[in-house]
Amino acid sequence: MNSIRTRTLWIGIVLLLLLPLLVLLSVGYSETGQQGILAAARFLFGSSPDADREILKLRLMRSLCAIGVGGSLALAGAMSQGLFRNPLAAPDLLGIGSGAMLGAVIGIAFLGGYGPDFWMSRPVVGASNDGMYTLAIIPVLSFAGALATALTIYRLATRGGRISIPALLLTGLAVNALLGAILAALQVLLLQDWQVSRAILAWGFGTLDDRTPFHLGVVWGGAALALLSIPFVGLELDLLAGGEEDAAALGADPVKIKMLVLACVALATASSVAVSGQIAFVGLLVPHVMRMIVGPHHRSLLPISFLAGAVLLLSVLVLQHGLCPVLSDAVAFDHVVLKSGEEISGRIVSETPEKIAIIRSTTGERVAVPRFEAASVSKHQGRLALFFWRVSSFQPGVLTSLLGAPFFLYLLLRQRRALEG
Amino acid sequence: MSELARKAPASECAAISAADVSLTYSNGIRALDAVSLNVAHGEFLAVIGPNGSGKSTLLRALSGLQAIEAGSISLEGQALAALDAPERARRVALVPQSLEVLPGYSVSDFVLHGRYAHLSGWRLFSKHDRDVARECLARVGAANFLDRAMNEMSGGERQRVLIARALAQESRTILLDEPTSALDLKHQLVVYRLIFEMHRNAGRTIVVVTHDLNLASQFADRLVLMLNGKIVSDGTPENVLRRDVLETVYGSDLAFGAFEQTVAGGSRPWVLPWAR
Repeated sequence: MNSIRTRTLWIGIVLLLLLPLLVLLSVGYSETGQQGILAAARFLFGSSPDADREILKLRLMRSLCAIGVGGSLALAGAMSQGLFRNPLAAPDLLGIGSGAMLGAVIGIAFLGGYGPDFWMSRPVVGASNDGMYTLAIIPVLSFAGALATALTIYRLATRGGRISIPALLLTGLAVNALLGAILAALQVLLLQDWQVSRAILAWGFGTLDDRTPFHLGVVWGGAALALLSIPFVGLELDLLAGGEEDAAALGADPVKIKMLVLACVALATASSVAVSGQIAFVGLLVPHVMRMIVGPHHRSLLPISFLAGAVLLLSVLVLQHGLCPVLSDAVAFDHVVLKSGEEISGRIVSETPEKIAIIRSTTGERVAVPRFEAASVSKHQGRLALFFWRVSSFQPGVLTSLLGAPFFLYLLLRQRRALEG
Repeated sequence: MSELARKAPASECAAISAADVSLTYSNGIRALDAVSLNVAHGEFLAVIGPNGSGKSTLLRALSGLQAIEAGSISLEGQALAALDAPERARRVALVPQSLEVLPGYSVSDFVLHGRYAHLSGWRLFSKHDRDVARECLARVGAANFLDRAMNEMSGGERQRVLIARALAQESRTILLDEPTSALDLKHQLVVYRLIFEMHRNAGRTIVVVTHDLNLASQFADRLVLMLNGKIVSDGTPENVLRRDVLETVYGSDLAFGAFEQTVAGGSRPWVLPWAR
């Protein structure tokens, strides 16, 4: 592998991580005293007014959670693709994500909530008697669900030390269907409890809003442990590329490696699912693209996939919170109602205390209206503006699925020959 | 027996020693039936026999990849079962018959994998590891393959790289499973010459499982003939490749002759199927 190219990629990816981070600190629903990037800069240097600081803390929390979640999902994807020796073997396609979901949902049902109301009723997380220890039930059960699914999948798809890829994908399909059915049944049973079912619904699509230090701790705890395993599984996954028997002949212990990797996949998947529900396709897409760039060596593929996953999820957030409101604003009409009752729709090009100048959207002519004649000035969102506004409030999981599903189809088509053979 | 083997001190224990090794597969087939075998240091042994005679299973058992039911195997005097994976890999290397290779790995990556059992703690390759890998590639005449992709190599080239990887493992014993099964005549000889070179000049103990009686006869010191999980004949090529021995195993449609001169020294027998 070309080392200059690799170094450039590392530097580039770190820069790519910082850029959206700054954007995300600058934008959001709540207004800060100072606008955008300035507020973010003041916050970073610790000189923000108190009100701003609280808002920016929330924004920082969201971004850091996004880095942890995106990174963990991509890392889990790279590890399971390496272990199963196939780029299609992402944790969410194999049902490991659903296993984590099921565990977390059981935890949420047990605790009686996970939404904003739930967090509001616990102002000091960790200090009260039902603090961290009870809360930990969600990530713990999520991990248990993910690990159990991962082990089952591995066992079912392996025969005599060889993994059959069609068998693996079909097993994943079956496991996903089964877990989906159990999840649906659970949700129906929980329907009476309005708070719980709403929490499950809102979290399940992959949300990153209103995240607390608890969430941050969970996702970064899981990510840190999985990242720490890289020196002990990176080269080993390369050895496994020649089959388990060959790895054993070279002095590796395939059983130990498999268990360690499966545990890491389950850990990284569960800690991100427990925090932000299921965000699909990051684990499929990111490692695949990174493999094309840095090659298959897991020593570099695993950490770089983590960073790229973080960049991807941050970029989705930038798209939503940064770009969509701007676009929505850009395509919205200005609407001026005159005292005479006449309405002018168009774009305000200049505004002075005396006059408002508008370009009429219907004819394109420029009209100047004396300010005292204007009864009201408002924004009017057309269909397109409304669309952008709606997209900005999507859960990021919805967007990654919209991006990832076509990519999955493309991969399937490319692998068709291998799957049929 | 080669120079090196003869020079080895008498007190040193055998490279491989198997006693009463038995194994029955789950489908009821008795793959190994009380097999006992001693391989001396520096010996070149070829295991021959028809399909399903248990020779590949024996090789896998000797390399520690196949658990056995009864009996014992020791490598250089140490019980195989008591060795951990890296220790085992430092004593014995296995050249597999074929290998599935994922795209993106270069030949040098691949040979470096042979150093795995020598890595410590953080599992980083040292300059020494890289030097050994390069040297081993040069030794099999593949120095110029270094940066080529492993999955784009031809059969003969790939076999050479596999041998280089086994050399990089720096084990005293190298086991080979059907090293020439997919190769043309020219490359069959290339590969056997390499194996012979490892044996004669690098002092490695060689156990090769093969269907090719004539290559085995030319290069090996000793042949072991297996049938139905048992060793039915064990000795020099002259003693094993005899009509009365082979007829019981391969049937009577055989033709015999002799190579007048071989690299291993002297005259050696050959045998061919003959439809009269």
